[in-house]
Amino acid sequence: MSVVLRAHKLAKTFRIGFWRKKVVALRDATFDVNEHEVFGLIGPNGAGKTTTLKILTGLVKPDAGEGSLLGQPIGSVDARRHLGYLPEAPYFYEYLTVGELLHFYGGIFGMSRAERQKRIDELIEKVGLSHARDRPLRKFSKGMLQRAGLAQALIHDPQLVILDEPQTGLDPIGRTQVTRLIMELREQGKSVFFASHILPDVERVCDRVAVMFNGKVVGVGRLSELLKAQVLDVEILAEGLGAESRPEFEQLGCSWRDVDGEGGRVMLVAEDVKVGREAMSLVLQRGGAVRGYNERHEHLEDLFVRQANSEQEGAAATSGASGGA
Amino acid sequence: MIVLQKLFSIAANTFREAIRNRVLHAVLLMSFALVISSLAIGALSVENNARVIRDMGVTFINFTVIFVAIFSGVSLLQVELQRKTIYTIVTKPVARWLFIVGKFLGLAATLFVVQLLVSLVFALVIIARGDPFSGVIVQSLVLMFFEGALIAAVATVFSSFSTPVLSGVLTFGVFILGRLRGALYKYAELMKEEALATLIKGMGVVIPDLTLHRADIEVAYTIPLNWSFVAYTCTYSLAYTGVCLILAILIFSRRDFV
Repeated sequence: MSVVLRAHKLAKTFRIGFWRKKVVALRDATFDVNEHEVFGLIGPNGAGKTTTLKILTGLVKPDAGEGSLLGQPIGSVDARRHLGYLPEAPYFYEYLTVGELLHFYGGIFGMSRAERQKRIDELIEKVGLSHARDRPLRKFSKGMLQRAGLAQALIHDPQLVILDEPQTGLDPIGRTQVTRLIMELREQGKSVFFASHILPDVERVCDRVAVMFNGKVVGVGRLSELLKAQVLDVEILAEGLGAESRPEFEQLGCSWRDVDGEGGRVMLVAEDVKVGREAMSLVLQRGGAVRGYNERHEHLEDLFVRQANSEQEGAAATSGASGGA
Repeated sequence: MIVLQKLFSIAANTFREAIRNRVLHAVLLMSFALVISSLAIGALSVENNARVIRDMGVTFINFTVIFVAIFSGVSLLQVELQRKTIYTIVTKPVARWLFIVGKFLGLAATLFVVQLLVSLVFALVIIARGDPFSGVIVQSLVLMFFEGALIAAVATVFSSFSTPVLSGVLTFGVFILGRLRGALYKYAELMKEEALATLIKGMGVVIPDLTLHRADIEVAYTIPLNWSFVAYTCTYSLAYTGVCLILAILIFSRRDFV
């Protein structure tokens, strides 16, 4: 499988304000995106996702590191020939209609008028803007602008599509449409690279992800590789237990929470499967009934929190060590 | 061929943006009104009101062209940056030089259309009075267009690194100094303070010589200009415009779009 996007040790420091204060936006972004895959770049706000995307698309020059798009070095005009890009919260020429906008971008790609017209008709239909075709973009809602942005990113049928927060500003229907569109692109053999903090959407469509924290890629791989395989905890919804049983369950290693108030249903949370099964037997022994059983596995959100905590601990350890030195 | 198509797309879009701008509509209406009002001002003059009308008309056209050149020129790149519309252009296979040149060509086309429309109204005023639309007026209009393009190029340079307001002030300053260049030179020659005289003369090298573009006396008294002088002035402004665009490209190419 060939690599369509490569980022190797990309780093960027911005200088802001009157005193040109240094702000490190990116320390080390290293990852590859393969052909025909949907690759997600995730991380909290300020992690360096947008800076990474801007470097890859030629908007920002890196201070260090290198990268390539479809075999061409980043920053070169050739690298952007087969690239479609949707910026975060896109802005367009507000006096144009969506059709005029797409004609303009098609012209930039050297497409003939007939070719453009055919593609524009298809895309406007696909992104669901047929009803607003003749409306100037200044009258578009945020979600509609996002759809227009997706259409412009796909105008020349690119091989690689880079999307920065494509679901932001969209309602649930819009988000589902974008997710479907990304899946469709994968089916068509395109490669999609997108940054997002809407984790359920990433989980739904990504083949692989890179996790970023503090300007650094801290993990790259399939979700199954990154997420812990073991059960995080076991939730048991029990009924018919008296309050006198509570110490027994707590002694076993289960937390106890009244769901419907005292005497009603109880949520028991066990730390592992073994304790969970023992708790279930105990429920039955005490004359209660089990209404629900759930083994909770790690999700992207948990991974996110785990990475954030380990980063914080790492930073604290480093500052502690340097303080002691 | 594709480069030309890209250039045309960017230029056409810049032109479309400019002609849909309501400020430009207002400026055009005001210019039409001013040019037509030269009829009334001419009628008030004691003698030779045709000369006054020609003088006033050409001045109003010049004012309009310079205003549009500065107003549109200073926002040419900054508006793209502020509205972030540039993100979707420079991430396409468009070199930054091509973007600048395309934008400038769109602005030049806007200047041309604006000047053409106001000049048509001026021509109608003259013809309606039964006066001849002499060749020197055409020569003056040609010089005016090239002056407008030069000022727009100066505005583009400032726009590539500063805010629209500051760019506007700086461009207007260059315009005034350019118009006074001849007088400043003469003043410098008479100066006793050598360092200051050298400084003024040095500025004269950088500041465009806009006195070349002034033909108001010739227009007022219908004295035809030499076409070789017109060609020289146009070549001079084209060269100056080219240097400004190269400078704007160099500055713009180094920028990060954060």
